[in-house]
Amino acid sequence: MKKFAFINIPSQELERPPAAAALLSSIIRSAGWDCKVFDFNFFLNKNVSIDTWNMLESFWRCKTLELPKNVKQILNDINEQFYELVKEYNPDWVGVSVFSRFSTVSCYEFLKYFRPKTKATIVIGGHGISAWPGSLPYIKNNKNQKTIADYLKDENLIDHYIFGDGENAIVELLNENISAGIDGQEPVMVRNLDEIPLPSYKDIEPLNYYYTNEPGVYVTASKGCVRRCTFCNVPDLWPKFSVRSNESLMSEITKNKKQYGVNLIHFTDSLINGSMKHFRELNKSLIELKEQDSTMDPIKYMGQFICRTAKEQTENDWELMAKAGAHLLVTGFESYSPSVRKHMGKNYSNEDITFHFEQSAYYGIRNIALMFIGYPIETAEDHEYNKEFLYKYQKYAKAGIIHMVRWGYTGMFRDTKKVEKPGNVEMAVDPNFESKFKNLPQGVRDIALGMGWINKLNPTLTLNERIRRRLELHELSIELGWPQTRSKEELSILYNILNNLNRNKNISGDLEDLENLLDFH
Amino acid sequence: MKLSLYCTPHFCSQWPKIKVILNNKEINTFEITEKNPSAIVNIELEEQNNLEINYYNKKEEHTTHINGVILQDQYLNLDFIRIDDILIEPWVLTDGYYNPKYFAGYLKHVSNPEEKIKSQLIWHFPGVFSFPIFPKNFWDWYYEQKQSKEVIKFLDKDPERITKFRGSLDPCTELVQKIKELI
Repeated sequence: MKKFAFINIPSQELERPPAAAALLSSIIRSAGWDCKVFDFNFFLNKNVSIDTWNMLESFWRCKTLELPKNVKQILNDINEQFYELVKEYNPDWVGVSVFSRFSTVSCYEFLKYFRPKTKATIVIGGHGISAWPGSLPYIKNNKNQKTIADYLKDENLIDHYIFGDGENAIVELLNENISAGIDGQEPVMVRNLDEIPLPSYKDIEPLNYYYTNEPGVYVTASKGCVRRCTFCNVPDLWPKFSVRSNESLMSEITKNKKQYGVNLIHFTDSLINGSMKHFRELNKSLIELKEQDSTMDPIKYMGQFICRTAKEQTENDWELMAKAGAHLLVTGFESYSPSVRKHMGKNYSNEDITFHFEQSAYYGIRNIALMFIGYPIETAEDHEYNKEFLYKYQKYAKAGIIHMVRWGYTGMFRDTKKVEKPGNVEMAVDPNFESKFKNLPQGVRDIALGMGWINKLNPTLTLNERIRRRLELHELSIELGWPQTRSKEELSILYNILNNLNRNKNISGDLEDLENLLDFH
Repeated sequence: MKLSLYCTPHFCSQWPKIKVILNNKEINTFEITEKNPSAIVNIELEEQNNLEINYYNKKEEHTTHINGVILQDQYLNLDFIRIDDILIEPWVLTDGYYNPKYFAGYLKHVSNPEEKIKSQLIWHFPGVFSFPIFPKNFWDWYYEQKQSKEVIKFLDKDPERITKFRGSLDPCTELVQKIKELI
């Protein structure tokens, strides 16, 4: 039997086992191969001190460009130990899972070490591999390859790569069929979520991970989204909304609890209530499961949620959710201004938001409110709406029903076309924006790159004004007792971006200058 | 403040009756029945608040038994509460105490039973349940207490977990000032 080593690399959360490894290892096994998961992210974390880990994280996340010499040595030693483990398994193929852009640096470093030592065929996949190669340290102004995957292939560090969903593509590739998603071919969405084998945690047991409260796993109930919000890239990644059958989902949840002691389901869906029909079915099935078997009682779930209109839901839906174990809803309210939301493509009213919080409060379901400051059409009046949001729902924040609010980095648009609408958004992008902060580490530059815009039809919303509003909402949140998540990190990054622009003397808070020069900042 | 108590009553010749008492003042009296298992009161908070529920109508004759086997018993479970229509976390109840008024017959068989029982939410004897003392600004107190009770594991592996998973009220004063100077 042929052997496949599935390697999960940093930097990823250590709260739960990596979802891709659990799912794809199961698919590979069902295709008749032997497959073993090696979680290098976890292995490394276990074998280094917290200080070393933080330095490595900083490097992987492109906040620093160079590792200290002693950390390099530690990494090298652990690479060697890890390599021995993989070598002992003696795989024919090695798959490297590059979860996000925060895994690209570690992927590059890992492959540089690993490739010369193995004869196994190497394939990489995951969202991170479509990043621009220039985002890797030491690779400056690379214009030859479009993505990191192309670069790594040209450098002969890998044999194949898979873009997009890997569920079907990995089997095709192992059957030597270079089809959709493989080696630069246009990816297609996974064909049928119900045909996919259930994930396996054989080598990556959830109880061994560093869970915050409860041992958990990621579960996918749907892919894609029912909305087409202007700021979101989900429709680009999964053009169609597809849902898994309730039977398949319940089998997975039951197996996870019985076999691995999993209490927390972290849905990876863009929206867990994207289809109300399926969402109701899920809740009813979870309630039935708990009624039939009391050992299932501790099961609870969290996931991304859309605020629904009054027509689309009833109080009964909330009661069902509570009984089923709804624990935390990550809800993108985005703005309390109805006109801003409408432009974004969100159709619910402020009354619907009130209903959402009232029901969450009544049933004790927590929310993380995701908000968006400085949307291109946001006026001073719209900003006042966001302040009203903080006053109006303050008691829910204090009660923990709004567990946290995240205000974000302010409006970031790399692809400004998506947000343009005749009559109210005409985006102008500063062509020299990137050159104004070349001293910034790549991780911060990636964020900064989305900020070099102005809406010519709302010219007072400069970068300075967007950040002023961000600060105002930060300060008001603190004053009113709203816990925030990641605010310090976001403000630090905004400070670094502004500071860098300031050093280039290109920043202007003066609106007259803006009119004359179309200064973007 | 709107206080809603949700109970499961058990009948034996009478349904359980309770008084809601704030700072030794009786606010209201309720009979808790299968049809009406909740009690809702509006209360005016003072600087410090000692909220109590007095389960007062249970008598020895509300337990019927033959040869020591209980056939029927009046008793009351306090299941959960809402304040201002917000479901309150269980620790507010489990941090409270029940002071049972034991029956004379019971005391003949059991010497020195507990006078004050923490987290006792099933009441077989009449008595007084006391909530933790809380100040006028209930929600500020609730937030602080709640934060202190949340369990966050593996902080040694990720010290940032507190802010990631519980949120932060850090004003980041210096950072905010530095940004203000730049805009």
